[in-house]
Amino acid sequence: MSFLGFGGAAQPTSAQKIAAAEQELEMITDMFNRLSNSCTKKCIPPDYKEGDLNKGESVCLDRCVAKFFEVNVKVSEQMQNMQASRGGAAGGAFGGFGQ
Amino acid sequence: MEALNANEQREFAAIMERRQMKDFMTMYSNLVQRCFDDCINDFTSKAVSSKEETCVSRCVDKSLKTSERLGQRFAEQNQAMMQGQMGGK
Repeated sequence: MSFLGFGGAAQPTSAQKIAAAEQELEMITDMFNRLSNSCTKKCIPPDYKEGDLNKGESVCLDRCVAKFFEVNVKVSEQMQNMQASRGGAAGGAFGGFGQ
Repeated sequence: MEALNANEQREFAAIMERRQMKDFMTMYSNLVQRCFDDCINDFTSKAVSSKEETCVSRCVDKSLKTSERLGQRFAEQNQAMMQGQMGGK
């Protein structure tokens, strides 16, 4: 708690903490759903010759997930740089997925 | 992000459970749609042919296995990224 009278950030309430946690969960779920859609489209041909994943498909999925995360990080970094170079104070809004 | 205390965790657990139900229903709906779109293309008959039925069965099988694998890799990557962040990139 701040006694300095700057009106610094008050302790978040229970409701706020839960809302923040829920929002983070929402973000992660959304990311997973998009990743699933994209990687399924890119790696799994729609002819379903068999019910199991073959080696090629499995490896494709693994690599797809890794690349998706890397792209996520790169986009985030680039946006932060753009915000910073504009002298924007809102860089924190994009700061670090998964905070 | 602030850590949640025991009470808050309980409340959050209830929220998570509702979401998981909803996510499961969504996944089911998407699965039906995908397997229908990919497998059912012959409308000369009202009945689902055995070829189409086999396709749908494989589609469900494959999609669930895909989802499982993606989930595992996602958790690994997410973990690695969190650790990278906490370790101070």
